[in-house]
Amino acid sequence: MSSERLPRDLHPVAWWVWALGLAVAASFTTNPFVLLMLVGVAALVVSLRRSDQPWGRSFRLYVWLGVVIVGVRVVFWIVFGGWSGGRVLLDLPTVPLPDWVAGVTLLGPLYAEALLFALYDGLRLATIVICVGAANSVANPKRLLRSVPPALYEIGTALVVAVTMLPQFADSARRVRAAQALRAGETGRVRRLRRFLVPVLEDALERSLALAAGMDARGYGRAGGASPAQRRTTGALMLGGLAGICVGTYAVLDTTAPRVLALPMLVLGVAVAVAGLLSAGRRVDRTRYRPDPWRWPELAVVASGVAVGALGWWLSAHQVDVAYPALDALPPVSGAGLVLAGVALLGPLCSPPPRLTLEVAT
Amino acid sequence: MTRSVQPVLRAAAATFLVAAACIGLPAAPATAVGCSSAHGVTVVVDFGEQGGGVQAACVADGGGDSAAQLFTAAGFALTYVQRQPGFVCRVSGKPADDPCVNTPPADAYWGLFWSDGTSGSWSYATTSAANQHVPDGGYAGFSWQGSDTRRAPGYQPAAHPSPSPSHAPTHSPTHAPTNAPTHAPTGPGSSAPTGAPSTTGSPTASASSASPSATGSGGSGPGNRGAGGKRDHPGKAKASSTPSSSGSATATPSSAAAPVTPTSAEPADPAGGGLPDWVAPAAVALLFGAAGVVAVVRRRRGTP
Repeated sequence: MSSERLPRDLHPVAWWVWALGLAVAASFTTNPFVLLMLVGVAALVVSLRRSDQPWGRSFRLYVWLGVVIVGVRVVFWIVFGGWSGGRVLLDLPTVPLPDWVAGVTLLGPLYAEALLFALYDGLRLATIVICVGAANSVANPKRLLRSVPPALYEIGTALVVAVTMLPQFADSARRVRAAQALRAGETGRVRRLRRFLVPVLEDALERSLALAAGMDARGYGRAGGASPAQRRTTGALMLGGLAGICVGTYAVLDTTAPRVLALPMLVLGVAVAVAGLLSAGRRVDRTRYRPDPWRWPELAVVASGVAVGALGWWLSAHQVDVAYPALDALPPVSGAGLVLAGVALLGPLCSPPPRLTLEVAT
Repeated sequence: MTRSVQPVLRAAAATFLVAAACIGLPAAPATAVGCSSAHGVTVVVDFGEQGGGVQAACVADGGGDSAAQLFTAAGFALTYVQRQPGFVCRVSGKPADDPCVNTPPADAYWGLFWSDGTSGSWSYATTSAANQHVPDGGYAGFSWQGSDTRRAPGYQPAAHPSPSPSHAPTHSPTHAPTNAPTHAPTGPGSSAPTGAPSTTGSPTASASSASPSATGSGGSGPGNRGAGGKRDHPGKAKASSTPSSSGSATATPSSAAAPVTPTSAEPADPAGGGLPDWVAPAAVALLFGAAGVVAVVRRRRGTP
């Protein structure tokens, strides 16, 4: 059936929801098998669905970043351990420290449990990073910025411009450097930097003024026909929503705060913020050129991401010894853990094959 | 001498208990007895709102050990927070309602206190239980912090005049009268409402209350230090405060409950699992293998 389907890019928001669902599940567990299964699913999906655009090759960088994260975590645990109890792997001498750094230990015996904990904990963060990397390499970043809600239209436009202009900055720096290599001048480290920075910044300013003039001439930046009262309502809604979300998040994390401030406040804040976004989006009446379609594969991918996140939360709440395995035995994996990995893979398998620029020839 | 005094004291303790029950005081088992001399480390756990009173034990050769080792040796099983290892979450299985995944909040946690044995007061530990080393003759205490105000263990650490351990065995008969009074009035004074019946209880229960906690260590703590504490303590207690066994009747039921809680907390763990050990590694290998195969196939086809 998949051979009949035309290759197309899946909606970038669907990929991001799926990847964030995997990251949420990863943040709820330190079970190395569950985490490695999530990494394996991410790697498989990326190798199946990445396009041949430049961002499609970034997954490797994220995997290396994950390896570095695990390594740093382990080294930090060896140096600033402070663990006690368990099987001693390596009896390093403790470096004596003065009293005013109480609580910090340098080296000391290395326990097998401490090493395992560092590995598991590093692997968790690495998995989260790799999941985000998977989203980055399968979703088109420019199309993602285009599909921001209308209220954030100006921010989206600014980000698209910034992303597009970044290569021009490197080009400008190269031109200035080449021009200065032909002239005499300061060669000291600091003075050379000043000689170099001023023309580059000037160049960037001139370029952005030219771009602004061009966009203004084409009708960008038109402040819609909102009355001051409407604008005030929108601002009040946005600020109220932001405050509600801040207070609610704080109360959710701090269990000593009154419970009324926790989830109810968070829900209220989100509702007010959504109302503010809708109110702000009403005055932006712009059409989208060739909007990304939202069909059933997008729904399947989003559903699998949400289900994986929910399963991860369920695992940490109901199967604590699977989600946080003991350090002195082989970590157990329950059926729920396997289902989690299966669901994570199932959604992306429904997605259409990616559009490749080079496959036209074959 | 002991024979003649025992029945009298037992009767006195019984009347006190009855009186306490009639008045309506919570008959909290404030059985707090540590090392009777300047030798050994006294381990104190003040359960506070968790129920269980103030329990104490003596780790005879625990000088210089870390607090975590001392508590394990004394039979108080420590459970750590899973996301923050080194942060003690449960002592003897309490509180059982905390899942021990995230760090407990600031109004429901175990505060670690220690005393060097010469100051006569508790100080709040600035490091973790694994890094807080207690000298010989000192004190290590966990106190349940049920509110925002810090609460030291309800047990007065004695101020030993000289912490040199060589004095202890030889002077034990002379130390005994000086130590006993310092323990007795301060114990109830610090934990005022519950400690009322313990004015008789605390000097008397010394030999007996330590033994149930030491038997708990034999069950849960594998260290032979726990057994050592068990063996050493009654001997010393006999020398210091002999007319003590009357309190045993009051002390044993309360502290006998302590070893029950960790055993009831631990069997709750084997809930998940159920899959053979090879399933998860096989799934991981399958996923990575599939990813590798797909990547190789795509490269063969010429798509980067």
